Amino acid sequence: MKANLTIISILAILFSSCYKDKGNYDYAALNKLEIKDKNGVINISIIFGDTLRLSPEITQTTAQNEENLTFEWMVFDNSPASSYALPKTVIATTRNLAVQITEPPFVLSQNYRLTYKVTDKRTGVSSFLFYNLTIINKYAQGWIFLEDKGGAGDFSMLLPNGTVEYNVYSSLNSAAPMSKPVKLEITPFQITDDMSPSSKKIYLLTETDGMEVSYQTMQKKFNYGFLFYAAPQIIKPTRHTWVSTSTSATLSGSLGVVVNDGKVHTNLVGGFPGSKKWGASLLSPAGNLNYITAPFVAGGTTYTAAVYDVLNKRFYSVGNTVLSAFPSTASTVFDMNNVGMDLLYLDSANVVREYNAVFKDETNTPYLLKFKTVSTTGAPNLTLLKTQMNAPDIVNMTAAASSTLTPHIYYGVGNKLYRYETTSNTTFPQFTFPAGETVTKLKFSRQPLGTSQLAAVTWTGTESKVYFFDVSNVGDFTTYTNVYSGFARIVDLGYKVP
Amino acid sequence: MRSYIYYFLLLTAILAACGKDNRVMYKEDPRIYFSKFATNPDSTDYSFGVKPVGLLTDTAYLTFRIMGTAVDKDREIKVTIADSSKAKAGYHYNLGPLVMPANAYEVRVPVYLYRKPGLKDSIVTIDFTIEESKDFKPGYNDKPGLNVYDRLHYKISLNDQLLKPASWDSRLALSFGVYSKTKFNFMIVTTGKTDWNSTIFPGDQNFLIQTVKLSLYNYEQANGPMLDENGVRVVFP
Repeated sequence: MKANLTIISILAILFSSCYKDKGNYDYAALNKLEIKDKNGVINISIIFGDTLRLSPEITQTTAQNEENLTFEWMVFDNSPASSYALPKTVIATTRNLAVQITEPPFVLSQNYRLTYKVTDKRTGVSSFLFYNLTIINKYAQGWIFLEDKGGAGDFSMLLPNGTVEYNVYSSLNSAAPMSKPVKLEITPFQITDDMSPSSKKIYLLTETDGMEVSYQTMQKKFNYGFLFYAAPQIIKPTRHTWVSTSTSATLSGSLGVVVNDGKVHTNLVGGFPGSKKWGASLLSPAGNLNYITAPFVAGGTTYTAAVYDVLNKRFYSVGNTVLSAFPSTASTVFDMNNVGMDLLYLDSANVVREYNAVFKDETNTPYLLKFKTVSTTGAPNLTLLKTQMNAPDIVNMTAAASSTLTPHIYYGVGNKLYRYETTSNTTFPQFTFPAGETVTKLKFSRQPLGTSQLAAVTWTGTESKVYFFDVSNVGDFTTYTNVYSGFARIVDLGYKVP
Repeated sequence: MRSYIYYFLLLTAILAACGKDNRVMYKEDPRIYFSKFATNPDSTDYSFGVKPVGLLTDTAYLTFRIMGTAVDKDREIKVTIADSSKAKAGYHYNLGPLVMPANAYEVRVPVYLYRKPGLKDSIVTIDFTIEESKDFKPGYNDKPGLNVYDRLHYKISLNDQLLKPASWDSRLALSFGVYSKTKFNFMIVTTGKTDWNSTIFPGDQNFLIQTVKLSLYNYEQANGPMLDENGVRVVFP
């Protein structure tokens, strides 16, 4: 009997596991966390040495205060070329972040992924918010003025806050002095050449040398010869630029075009593997090197790039491995393959992929030739206009800038600044600089969402000055808005975007 | 006494469920095959003809890769040379040690090649086949890409002549035009490139085209037109 009771008891215990669970429990709602940045900022560029301050908003479904929350701010190097095995660093465990961007863990020009983790201690459930940080220096944005200091090169910068930083290059590159400068090249779009992580590019060209400097740190990155598969025997670069065949709003580099010692070199980039550098000199359509290229490059889509041969007084279409003549159907207004005049100036017009080219003939008569670099099979013509210019003294101009906003070319002669209108073929004396100053360089900076500017560099005999004019939407201005002085002789200038 | 028997039987039945199962794991035979990729083509076409005259020996490599996991001891690889091979072991070539090192998944075994007079007018081949060794069975035998040979076979062809690259008509002719020995030799001398059969990426290809065109222009400036072995002027399109 006792044994039977024992067996029944054991069986009862065993069969109790077969009891159907009705699941009618009382559930307690969990506290759900939601984190967001009140400014909606996810991508942050911050200057090395500055303090990063972040105060995300936290909302909770059941709790009213944050006593039961723990916080963690963690970063890791998320740069394209960095290893995936780099360490993670917790930089703060506070509700809000206020941390100075210094080494370690931050390194100038690197990208970081910042993770904000908020955990409810009662449930152990965490919520996350992510930021992308790019560590920049104060030279991320602004005007760059390339200066010739008695045969040595340097550059200064005008920062967005209006302060001028002099001797920027020499202060950052004391071990790599620059020789006599001739040209500043800034590429406004990303270049993927696999020589270094994708980036916008800055090249500094000198009379017999050149270099690439880091877009982020402004420090010398590559010697000029290293940019080529085989360094040219003679190095006298006048252009080192990229053109884009993109038709979308976001441009990306397609073909690099160098003019060195008057000869064209190219560099094809794209989504293919292998090295990408500049190659050997291209031969002319006649299969020789009897050409001298002017320091102007017109980019396009149908025709990737066009250059002008000052020796044979004609244009060439730049291909990957050869210079080509334009098809005869491309020329109706004038002959692209036989212009027969001296090129004074060439730059973008106010219509995308259209160019203004100022020439003079053998009698010193100026002509404006307009052309485009886009065509179709049905409409192959590229030539748009050839007109004798009603532009006083333009053949003696010391600087020019074609507006990409309005149909104007601004040019300087002595201390006078003129505005030539391409549509009406008329010229207006726009501004007169103080006596003794000579206009040496002009640059038009189009601001699609703001006020476009014309920057004018003058030389007083002892220093360069830079005047900025706010240009109206009809291309007009009366006087300058700012002037900066104290520069050595400025040979070129450009605007660097972040 | 009976109740104890009941207890015993019941506890035995209950505790039987507590036994630990042996995990059933897949265990494959260690195998080995020739690793072949675009940059490591199925067959090596080696010519002393594109090398400096003084070079009397050079090295090609057989790349072996294992299937399964690495082990902590050296393992033997076995290959046989097919009867179709014309190259003589010890005369035209010697093979490095056929060993997969401990803890390795891949090994490159050197094949030492020797420049012999007969290679001027003949092509000899070494036809390798992976066989079962005491450590490895043959791996898989698919033909990756457009390869002629599967992953269990490898062929090295050896000569001392300037031979037309196999890919000339299909790939190189577009950029370099009609083949001739004179032209090909000029291309090798001016670019320094000796392997024209493997993949050439677009950036490198552009540089090669630019270089041969410029070099030919400079040659003609100094010497006049270059004629090939057929008396035809060498040109690049």
